[in-house]
Amino acid sequence: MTQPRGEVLQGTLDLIVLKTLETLCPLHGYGIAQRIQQVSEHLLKLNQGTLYPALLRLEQRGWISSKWGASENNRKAKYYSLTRTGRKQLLAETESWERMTTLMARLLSGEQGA
Amino acid sequence: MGWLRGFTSRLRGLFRKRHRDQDLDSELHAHLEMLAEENMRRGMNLDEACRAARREFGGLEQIKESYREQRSLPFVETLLQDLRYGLRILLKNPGFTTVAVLTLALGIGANTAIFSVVKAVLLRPLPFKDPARLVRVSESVSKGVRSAVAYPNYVDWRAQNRVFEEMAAFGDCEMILGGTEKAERVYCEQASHTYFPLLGVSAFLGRTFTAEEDTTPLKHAVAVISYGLWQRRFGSDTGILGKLIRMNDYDYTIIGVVPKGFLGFSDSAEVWIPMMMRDAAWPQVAKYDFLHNRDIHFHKVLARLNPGVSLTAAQAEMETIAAQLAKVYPKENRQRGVLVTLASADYVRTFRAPLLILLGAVAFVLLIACANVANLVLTRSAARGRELAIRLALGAGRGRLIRQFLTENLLLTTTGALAGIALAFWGLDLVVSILPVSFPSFARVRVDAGVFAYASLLAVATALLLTVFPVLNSARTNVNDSLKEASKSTAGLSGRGMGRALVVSEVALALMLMIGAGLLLESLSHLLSDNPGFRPDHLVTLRFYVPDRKYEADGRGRFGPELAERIAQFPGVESAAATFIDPFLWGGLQRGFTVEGHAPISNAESDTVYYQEIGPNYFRTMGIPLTRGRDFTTRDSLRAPGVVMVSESFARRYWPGQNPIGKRVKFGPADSTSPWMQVIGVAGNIKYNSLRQDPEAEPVLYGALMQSEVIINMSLMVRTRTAPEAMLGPLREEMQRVDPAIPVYNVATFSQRMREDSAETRSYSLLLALFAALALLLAAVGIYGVMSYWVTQRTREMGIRLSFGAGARDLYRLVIGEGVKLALLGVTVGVLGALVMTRALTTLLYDVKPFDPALFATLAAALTGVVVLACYVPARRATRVDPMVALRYE
Repeated sequence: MTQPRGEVLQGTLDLIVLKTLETLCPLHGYGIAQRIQQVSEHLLKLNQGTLYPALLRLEQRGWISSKWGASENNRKAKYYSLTRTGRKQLLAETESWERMTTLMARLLSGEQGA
Repeated sequence: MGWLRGFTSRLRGLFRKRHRDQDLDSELHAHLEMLAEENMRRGMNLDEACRAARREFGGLEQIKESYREQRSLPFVETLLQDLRYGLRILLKNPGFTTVAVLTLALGIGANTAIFSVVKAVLLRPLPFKDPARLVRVSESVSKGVRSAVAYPNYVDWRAQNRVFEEMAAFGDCEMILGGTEKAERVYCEQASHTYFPLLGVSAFLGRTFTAEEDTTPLKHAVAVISYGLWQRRFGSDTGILGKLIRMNDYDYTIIGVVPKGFLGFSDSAEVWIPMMMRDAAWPQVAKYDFLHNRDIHFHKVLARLNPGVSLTAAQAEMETIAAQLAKVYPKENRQRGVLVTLASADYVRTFRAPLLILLGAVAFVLLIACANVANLVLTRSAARGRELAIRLALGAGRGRLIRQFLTENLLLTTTGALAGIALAFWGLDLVVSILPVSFPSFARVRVDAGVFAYASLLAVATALLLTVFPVLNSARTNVNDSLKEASKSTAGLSGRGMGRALVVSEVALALMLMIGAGLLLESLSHLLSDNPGFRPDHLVTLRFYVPDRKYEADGRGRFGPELAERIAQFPGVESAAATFIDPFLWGGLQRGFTVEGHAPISNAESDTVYYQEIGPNYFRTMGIPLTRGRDFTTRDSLRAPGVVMVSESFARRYWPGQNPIGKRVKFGPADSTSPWMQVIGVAGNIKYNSLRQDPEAEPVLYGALMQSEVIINMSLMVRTRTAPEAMLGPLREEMQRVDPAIPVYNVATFSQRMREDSAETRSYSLLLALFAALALLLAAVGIYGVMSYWVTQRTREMGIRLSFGAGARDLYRLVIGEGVKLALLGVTVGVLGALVMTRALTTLLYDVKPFDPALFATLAAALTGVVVLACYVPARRATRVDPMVALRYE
């Protein structure tokens, strides 16, 4: 049973969105989705709609902010950007994520004394 | 703080929903359009591009739903939705809503009213400093039986213990206030200087007692008075300090006024004097030397536990001290234990059991109300069966449906509770007026926040109970069947079972309440009709005070009998006699005594014997039969040899099977120096303490007033020829003509006195009867509801029966038979329940066994009759069914 496209891990979507917004901002929902697919080289299975509840959640926590604007094609779109607390949160989460992956990598490769 | 921001933002999400929905729509659409455009750029045609875009995007509605859930508080949102829905449903069925709310209001209102009494009387802390650490320390004559404390013992306890922060002693007595005019009787406490600080009370004007005033007897004639007395007698004079107040013919300097509402630990005192002044207040008993005599047990002792010391630890320490004192004073302190109890227990003792029983009774009423409303809800949910089935079929979770039911029921019970609280506001006056019981003066019975909280709790509990029924009922519902069944509109079998269970439980609950009320009412009638041992009709009692300094030596002893002789000549009076008891208020002294030729009598036993001093003619005036020997005469004076009389129970106890005449008794232990006194007569047993009293268990030793040296207050018993009520005023005036300085008080006819004595039983039985009647009414209405619903459900069957030739009688038999079957089942459960529940009533019963077959049978029959009536109306409707209409009914 091989899975060609990985499911998005619980909780990681937040980190992905924050990271995306750190490099490119402000960006609308569509742009974020495109960017994620592009970077993950379509390895990530993502219903693009599921981004929206996540965006709302991040905004409720004050990590990102939104503003209506006009898109490249002059369409009305909502643009999201990272806030200062969001940037701090990103740092913290990246750090904990890295710690976690190192730990997992060590455990899985069977190395001694983590 | 992220979660807080999230929460407030979600809270905001509850509002301006439409605007936010539009926002979301346009955002999502923009996304979809951009996706489609991209797809078209890749070469798809418009249709294909849109479809692909939607696929990539995912289910639009699901996403919106989860977005909405994220946006606001779904719990609250659903709640608001359910509330709106529930409100609409309740308003659409005004009949159902009115009946349900009224029923709940009655149930919750009764509970709220009784709870406010319970809260005020049983749950309110005493109005003293840190009441949780305040204890009573008493002597005990046998295990658990407390007695008053000898002052020297208190002094030793206070000096030796390490468990109490402080101790205080006090005694309570009547005092006659004022000189010759405006004489008035007040209650007085003679208190140690630690008394006020211990209770946390400081003077509102002036000061309380100093340690100095508590050390030398008869040196500091000072007094503290109550706020009420200060207002009443001194016109709230702020210059009162230093003025004199005359009590029992002795002048005291007023040194302080205590704050409003403080009436001492006895809850009735209006004057306080230092402990050291008691011989001035009662010179007649000064010879007993209360302050140094360990044989006079008169005082009450209060103490404050040291922080962290438990009641048990204090009890243990005090027992050790008491054991030591018994070693040092073997003669006086033999058999004297000690008992430490919470001070608050003193106030709730007699109210506790009856109030808890009433609380239980109203809980039953509420259960019946619940059963009624449950039936209404059940009936309605059967009618809504189709709606529920459709919602289940559309995928509503059972949990979601339960939640909606709960919200609807909460709406119902909350409205009911609000109406109930309103009812309680009004009904509380009624309850309090039925309860003429003297609650502690500081108990304020009213509907307050705590009572409000209790009512809310009841509303929630009731709603939960109401939800359980339909849920149990629908648990077995098969969606498929319901959808089909709904079209036939027949109640499911389970619905019938629930209706039956409700009828049975209503009958059982109502019967238990009726039996409880019946037992109490029967006790009341026994109390009032039992022979008290004397003739209470045409009998009047007037209490008066004998001014000590005016009547010296045996003039004092002769005063009462001589007054009686004079009153006996008064027009309308048949005979009169004096006694020092105040019937049904104060039954006499308990004094240790010795019976010649009998083993020493223990303190516990001698405490059950009452010593009463009486003048000549007492037995004739009271209508008590003299069974042996002779009555006291005026010749039995201080110069004649000491004589006594005894009650029959006394004779039976100490000289069983012998002639008591000529036997001898004396006061104190066998080696005491008191003179022997000869028994000259035996009189019939009477009740003198209370109507509940068993005279056999409390024998009387009668002494002659003319031989007495210790008289303070006395009562005149007067048998009248004419209506006794009309004689009260003239008799009082006549007594004051003899000596205007004599205050005459506690004036009453014996029937009044005895009614007052039974007032408590009367109030509790009235209230219980009231609740039983309410329960019966509710149960009747509820049973009627269940039965008429049952008949409606079976209209078609009735029609078929009628068309096949069944007569009206058969239908009556069918419907009423069903009702009676359920009633009998309920009666069985109710009787079994009553057998258990009425045990709680035992202390309130008089001359009635908790299991009274005749009463049980009568009430069961009456209740069954009510059920038959409740079934009759629906049965009659069944017979009026037109078979043709019924068959087409569906």
